[in-house]
Amino acid sequence: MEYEELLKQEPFGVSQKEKEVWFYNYFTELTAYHKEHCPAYAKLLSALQVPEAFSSMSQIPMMPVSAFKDMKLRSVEEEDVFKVITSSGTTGKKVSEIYLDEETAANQQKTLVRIMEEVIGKRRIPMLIADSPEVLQDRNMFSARGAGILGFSIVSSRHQYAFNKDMNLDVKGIEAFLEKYKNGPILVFGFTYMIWKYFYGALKESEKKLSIPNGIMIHGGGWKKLQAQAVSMEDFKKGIQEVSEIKQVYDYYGMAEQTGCIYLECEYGHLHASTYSDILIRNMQDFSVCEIGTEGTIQVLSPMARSYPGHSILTEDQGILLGIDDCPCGKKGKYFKVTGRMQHAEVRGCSDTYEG
Amino acid sequence: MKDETIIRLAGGWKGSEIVGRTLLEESVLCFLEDLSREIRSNPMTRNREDCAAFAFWCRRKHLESWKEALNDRESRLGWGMIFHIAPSNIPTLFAYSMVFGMLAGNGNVIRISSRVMEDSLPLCQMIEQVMQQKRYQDIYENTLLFTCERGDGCIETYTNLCDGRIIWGGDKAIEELRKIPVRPGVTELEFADRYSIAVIDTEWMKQRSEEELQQLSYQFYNDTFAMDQNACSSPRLIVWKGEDRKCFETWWEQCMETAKRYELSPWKVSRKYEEVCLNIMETDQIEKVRFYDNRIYVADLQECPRNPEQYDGRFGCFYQCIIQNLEELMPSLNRKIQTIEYAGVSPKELQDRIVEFGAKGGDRIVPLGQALSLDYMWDGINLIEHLSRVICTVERRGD
Repeated sequence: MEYEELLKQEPFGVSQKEKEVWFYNYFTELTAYHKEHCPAYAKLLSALQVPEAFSSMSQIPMMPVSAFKDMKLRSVEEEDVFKVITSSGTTGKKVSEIYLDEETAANQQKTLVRIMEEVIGKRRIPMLIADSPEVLQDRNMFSARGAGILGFSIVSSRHQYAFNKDMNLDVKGIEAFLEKYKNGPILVFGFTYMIWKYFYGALKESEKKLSIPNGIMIHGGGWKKLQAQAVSMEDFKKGIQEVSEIKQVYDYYGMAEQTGCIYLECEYGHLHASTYSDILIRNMQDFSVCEIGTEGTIQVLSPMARSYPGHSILTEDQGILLGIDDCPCGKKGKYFKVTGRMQHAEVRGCSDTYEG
Repeated sequence: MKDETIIRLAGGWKGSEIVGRTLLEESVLCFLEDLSREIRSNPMTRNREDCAAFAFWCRRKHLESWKEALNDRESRLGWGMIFHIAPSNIPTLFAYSMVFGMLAGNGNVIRISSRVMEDSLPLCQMIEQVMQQKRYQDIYENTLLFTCERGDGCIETYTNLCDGRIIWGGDKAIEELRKIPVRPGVTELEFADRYSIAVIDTEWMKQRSEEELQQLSYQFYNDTFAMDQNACSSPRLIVWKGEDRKCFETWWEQCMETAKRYELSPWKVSRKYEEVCLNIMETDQIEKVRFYDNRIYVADLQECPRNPEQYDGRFGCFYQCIIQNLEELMPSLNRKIQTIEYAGVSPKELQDRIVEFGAKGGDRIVPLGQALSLDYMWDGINLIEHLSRVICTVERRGD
């Protein structure tokens, strides 16, 4: 079956069992494809002694997420590279480079559109972007933020940036936009921390309130900075509703290394794997697969990753599988929560030490 | 002197000129003996493995054994004041550095990194306590242990005053600190990043009993995991003399058992898996990687590599290759290679081969289990001799 066929399936309507049958075959073929088209990947499979035929999904080898920071990994010819997605990640200086050909890039867009249908329906709606238009201009800011905005823009009919170039809230612009589209749903998109600091923070400080009762907020990018300020998910939702009347606030989990197949939060606060991607939670002591309820490291699987060998990635995020096919929201498949980034350890040794 | 910017941790040097003294002075040996005893009995330090190891190392008998090995001891004097810049991830290393400086007849000013200060503090307090005794007043007045923030000028100040400087902490620290040069003629010791290997005779290993294997694996654990396998002298490449896959397998299984007490956090596994995957993809030498859970990774190299240091392993990641005789190892011993630990191989033969071949690396040949024991011979240099000067005399001819 082609990826196109999978996309025709409901985004959250396929049971885990059905999905795994499809994934198993598809990933076996995709792994063989990367082996043939990416010499570095072939070396990896050979050295890790990965069998040609897998006995289960969990046998599919994992690429460490940071490998994309150190190496240019692709399974297409250089001239077929259509676009390179970069992301700074957390390690700081080094940047991930993800090579997309036209087909992979198109599939990423289509997939995001399909997943977003779950919250906004099949039509495009106006989008308020909680960021500055500068984010697409400035080469240094472009990366995860810019790519996210561009990605989500495809589900919008019109868009309006909420901040001016100095990251001040453009209240006039927002109000004019809201006035124009007040009769239908409005998508409010941004990065969690940006929203909290420059949207909620600015409104709170100026004691100004916006009225977006039809608003659907989708935010992502991690909780690390908010956790540091002791802002919980509940505080966040409550705060947003208080300043803007937005009741539907959904977090998402995703990464530049597997753009498109985001993991969307449901009304019960659970992140859901869609039909188009999956996760496994790994025990880092031996890479065994964790049971439901046990914390481990998140492995992400995306059948879309054809132009680069990133269809199975071991992330540096910790998470817990909460259940399969039985979330009260009715969505099928796996649902989970992200518990944070793994804690860095103080490393002993001789070198690299003139830091403190 | 910018006294206000430093935090004093021990010692009472106030900036006065320090004169050189003779080597292994009696008062210094007495002080270190007292210090060793105090560390071993004081509840603050006695249960800490790293402090206990230092106390054991600086006991009088051990230090006195160096007397015979020092040339021209009677006609040597310390340079004066040595400024030590200690590394930030081995909390006790500053104390070893101090001992070398003292034995070589110097006063010692030591900057301890603020990053390890908390872990270094108990040892500093022991030093302060013992040094404050009246009979060690002289040592007290010639010693200063402190911490300061980077870039507040104290490194410049002490660098300008010192008669010798020691930089621990590898290439990065050296590059940083070379921007603050010592005065011309001032002696300097720099400890750059190094890489270490182990050479094991396969036949010898095969003949070990189960208990012996277990014992060896404990020693190997201490050489590697005890420092996250991240010390310069921890072996990363294992060179087997002779091939026997079953013997290798038995050895690594034993090592995995022993390594079960190692605290293997998800982050460490993440780094280790990443490093081994990158090495597989970036080189053409790795045939196969064996996983002993995530405790130990063993990567088979096709041949003894010319640049072993590119096979960087941490947290229990080893590279192994096979040779038939020691000559085959020689081209691998470049300037980066420091310690060669051996098991079942003659150290004398190793030394002879290195000298014959004229290899640029391989300074320390020690038995398995002693990779981390710091000695006054380090990186191919006699530290005590380097931290002192010889006063030589030439007789007038014909008299």
